Amino acid sequence: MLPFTYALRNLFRDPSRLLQTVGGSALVVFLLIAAVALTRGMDEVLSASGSTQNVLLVGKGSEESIERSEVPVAAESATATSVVGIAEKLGVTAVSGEIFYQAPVLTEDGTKGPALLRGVFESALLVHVQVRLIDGHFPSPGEVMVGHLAHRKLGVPASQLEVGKSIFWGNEELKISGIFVAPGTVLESEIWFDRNDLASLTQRDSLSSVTLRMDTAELEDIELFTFQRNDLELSAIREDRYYAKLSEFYEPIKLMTWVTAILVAAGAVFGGLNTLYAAFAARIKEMATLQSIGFGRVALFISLIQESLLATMTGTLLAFLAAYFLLDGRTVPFSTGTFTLVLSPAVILAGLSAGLLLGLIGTIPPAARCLLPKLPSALRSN
Amino acid sequence: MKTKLMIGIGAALAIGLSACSKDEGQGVVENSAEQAALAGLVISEKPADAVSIVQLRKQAKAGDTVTFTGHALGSRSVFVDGRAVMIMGDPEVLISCSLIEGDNCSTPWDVCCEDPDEIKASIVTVQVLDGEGKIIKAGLKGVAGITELSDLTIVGEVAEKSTDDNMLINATAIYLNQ
Repeated sequence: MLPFTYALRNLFRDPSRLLQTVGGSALVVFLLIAAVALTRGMDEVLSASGSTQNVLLVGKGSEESIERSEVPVAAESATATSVVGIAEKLGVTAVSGEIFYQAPVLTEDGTKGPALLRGVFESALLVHVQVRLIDGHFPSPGEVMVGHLAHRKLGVPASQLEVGKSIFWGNEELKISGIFVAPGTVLESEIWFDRNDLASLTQRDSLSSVTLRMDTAELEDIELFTFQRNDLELSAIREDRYYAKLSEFYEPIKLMTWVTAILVAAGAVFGGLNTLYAAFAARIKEMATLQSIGFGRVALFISLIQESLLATMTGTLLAFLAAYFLLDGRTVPFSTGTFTLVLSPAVILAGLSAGLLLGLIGTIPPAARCLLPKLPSALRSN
Repeated sequence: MKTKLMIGIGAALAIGLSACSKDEGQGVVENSAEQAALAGLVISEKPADAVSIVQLRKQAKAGDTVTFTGHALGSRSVFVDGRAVMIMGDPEVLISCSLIEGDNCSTPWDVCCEDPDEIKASIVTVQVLDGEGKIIKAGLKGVAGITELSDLTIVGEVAEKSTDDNMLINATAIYLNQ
């Protein structure tokens, strides 16, 4: 085998080519890391937002869009009294009738931003068990409670949504009474109103949904209830399946992200191939000389791969450094909420694999072409 | 050595599979009893004097014994897995999407082209109770070939919980119209 230092020294023969290879690999790997982090972040926030223990009752025909759903207010009490096996805490049944609305709101600094509004009563905390109040109190009439990532959705600094500040909707001023967290879920991007307030502001006399938390009840028992109350025109869907369907809605965006990343990577590979074909062609005589003094083709091939991998893995390292400082922990708002970009093990593995593949795929054909000529003709080549 | 290894793997598989099949066997026995109870409701002679669902909704009151015909339609899901309940609608009023020319709807039994108020007034829920008055925990879909859009005649009693806006029928006999 050729010594490792041979591959290392050869890297610096052409500093501009080295910079091109390292820079190109860094860009491609960074792009792939961003694509994987984006798609995984979106999938994870939507899958964590839905619980297998919760069931949503929505209006028939609105199973895919809770904003369009209309559920009679009577459905909330009918569900609580008719369905056996719903979770209970201190005698209170975990059933929450909610109003869901999307509208722009104004903050005190005059910024208008799109907001996800949910009208609830305290029973919502029995159903959305991930929600924890970290500052202030649950909203009373005239007040709202904000998720700790709601400021990202609105596009304002977090200081604009502190307890004691106000938001404005139309002519209404609503004081922020509390801040809640619901880690890894879309709930953290929402603004929660007292349900009666939101009903009167949106001029609604119906709910968007009734969410209930199952204890011993099964989904089939809830479906049975909807069949036995055709007058309420309800459809039952498990909360995790609702969010899984929402995730499917974003498939085209994720596909576009991947197509872009793959096209850029393919461009980098073909560009690299071009460069290496030329670079290795100039070393055919050198490779032939090494063969003539006893080094086998396999050893030379491995040395060329080592050289290439050193460059691409250096680029991969730079990509990870850039991703750590520029991407990790960043929140990205989208229509349904906000998700966080995380350099998880899966993302790291994807980046490492990309760097490895770039080094291998871009090197094998030119290296093979360089080593294939017969020794006598290779020694005579210019 | 190889032979011993193969025998060992085969023995392990046999033990594992027999354990699985034992559990499956018990579950199958329980489901069979409920499935048999549902299959026992299916009769071979068409009941006489059956009315339409619209007429039923107008005339029948809680406690009445009734005979009516209809199709398994009126909602995106007309059956519940694991529960003996289904929705039936009046085919004279609710036109299945499959009967509309050019409509390639994959769930024609949801009659989504009809007015929601019309749908609400033209459907009933049919359920099958056990001896203790509880819904049988087995699905009606597949029993004697019952499926979406099936043409059925039902004999039963209007449930006590029925209201003018919501009719529940406790079925005692089911006839599959051909």
